[in-house]
This record gives sequence, C-alpha cells and structure tokens, in this order.
Amino acid sequence: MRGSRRFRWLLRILPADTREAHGHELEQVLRDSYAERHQARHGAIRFWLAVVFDILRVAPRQHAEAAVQDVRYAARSFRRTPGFTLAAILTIALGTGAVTAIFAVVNAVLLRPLPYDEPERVTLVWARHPDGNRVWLAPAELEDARANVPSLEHIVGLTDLELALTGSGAPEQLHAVAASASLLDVFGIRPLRGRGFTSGDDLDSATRVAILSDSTSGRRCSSPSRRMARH
Amino acid sequence: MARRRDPAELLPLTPQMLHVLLALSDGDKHGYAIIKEVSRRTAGQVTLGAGTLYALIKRSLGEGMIVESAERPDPALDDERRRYYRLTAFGRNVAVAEVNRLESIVEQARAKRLVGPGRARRA
Repeated sequence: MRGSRRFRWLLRILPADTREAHGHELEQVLRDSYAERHQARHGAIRFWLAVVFDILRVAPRQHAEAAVQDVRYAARSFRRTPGFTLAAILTIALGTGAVTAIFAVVNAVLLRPLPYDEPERVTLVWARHPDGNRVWLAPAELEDARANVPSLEHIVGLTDLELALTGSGAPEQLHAVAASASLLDVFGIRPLRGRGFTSGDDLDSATRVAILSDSTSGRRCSSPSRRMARH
Repeated sequence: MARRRDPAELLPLTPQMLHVLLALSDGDKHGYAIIKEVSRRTAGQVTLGAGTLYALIKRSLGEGMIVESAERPDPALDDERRRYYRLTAFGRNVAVAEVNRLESIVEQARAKRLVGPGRARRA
C-alpha cells in the first residue's frame, strides 16, 4: 500500500526508540485518520499537511529527549563501571587520533592536489652516485639536459643554502634555496609583491636576486613597499 | 520500596496531556480512540496529531501515568495490532491535581471579577 510506505518514510524522522516502541501504532492511527478524512474536499492534501507539520513539530523534541536519555545512561554506566568506561573512552580517543593522523598524511600526500599548476608535469630528477646514493645533478649536466632534451619545457636547478641576512636589525641565519631563473615558471606562481626571476638573473655577471618568503618578509621588513624593494 | 511520587512534581501539564489523561479517565482506549474522544469532547477545538499523541503516550508511560492495558475488547470488534492504554492511580492523581490547579486559577479570576456571572464575555 502506497500510503503505508509514505507513513513509514515519514516516521523515519522520529528517533529509532519511538519508532520501535510505537511505530506500528502510529502507522495504524495514520491509516485510520487517512481513511476517515481523505474523501472530504481537499481531504488528502489537508491530511498530509497536518501530518507532516505534526511530525516535524514533534521530532526535534523527541530527538532531544532521546539524546538526554543517552547521556543519562552513559553517566550511570560511568558511575557503575568507571574502569571500563575510561578504557572505552581512551580506546576511542586513541583510535580517533590515529585515524586523524593517518588521514592527515594520506590527504597531504595522496588526496590534496599540489598547490601549483599541472603538478603531474613536474618531476624531480637525481643522479645516482656509484655508491648508490642519490646526488643532485651538476650545473653542466643541467646545461646538457637543456640542450638535448627539448621535450622538457623548463629545467630548473636547485640547491640548499645557508645564508646570513644582514642589514636592518640583527643578522639572521636563513635556510635558502638557490634556483635557476625559471623556477617560478615551472610552478606557475608569481611573487605577491615585486618581480620574479628573469632570464638575465641566470647570468654569472648578474646581481644576485632573492625572493623572501612571506614570513621572513613580514619579520624583517616593516612595510610592504620596503619588502618589494629588497631584492 | 519505591518512593511515592508527588503528582505536583509533574505540574503544570500541557493542555494536550490533560486531554489525554481525561480521555482515559473513563476506560481503556487505543491511540486513535483517544484522538477521536478528545476531538469530540472539545468540539474539534483540540486535535491531536498522531506524532503529538504518541509523544504524550511515551512520556505518560515513562512517568507512570498510564500503562499498557492487558485487557482487550472482543477480538471480533478489535484489531489485535492496536494497543490499549489505561490510566494508573498516579496518573489519575496527576490529572486531578492539574484540574485543581486550573480551578484555583479560575477562582482567582472570579475573585478579581475577571470572569463570572454579570461579566460580559469578550470574544
């Protein structure tokens, strides 16, 4: 019977314990009411409006009462068996923590897209030393690659540096990366302020140019315009 | 031994709850019969929805104001899926306490001549 299915669907709005205790009776009452009223003028529409309004009005309070009952039951259980309850809480806390940590790693490594354009086209290349260790390519090898592998749009050399930043304020040791000028082109990014690297910056005779991270820039330079000027 | 509960603990009742207790005061009834009885007695001014009724029944059962009745009418006249409810002595005491409370309010209104003989009723 279509009406019965609709009644059951509507009663799902109520908490499970109410449905288990009185679901069949509720259905029966709804069937009786419907049988009595649906033949009147607009009776079916008025019946359904009244029923839906009634259930929607009653359901939130029923859920709230069910939640309060659950909390009371949990509190009573805790008082009766505190050891077991603490062990259960600890287990859930550790489980939740472990799952959260695993998800954070999976999300960062596998799920979240890398924060630059077309990351699938970017790859990191090492050379393999005869002893098996991975080492960076030498500048000459980069030049060879640029000349002989035209399918690569950009080839960027990178190396770590430890630099001292001096000038205004106390000198500060900074961890830096020295890179070829096309570094920003590879990742499709632009500095927030000032200019990026240009091909001229790759020349041996060029003045050395630096881009500060936002945190370093904010810490060392008092105004945005001064941050821009500090190349 | 269970503590004897004071009916006043449950006051005031909602009008719908009082109507349900009143409906059961003269005999066991199933849910739909309660709805019909309340509607008939109030000339349609109080209509209980099925959701509202069973929320009241659930609360009344929980508070011990009503119980499910084991006695059933003649099976030929009855649908065995229906459950019948009976007012308990405690439920009767709660209903009486609520009626007394309302009566006391009406008496106070009469004493202040808000209502009563000689007062025109305002629509």
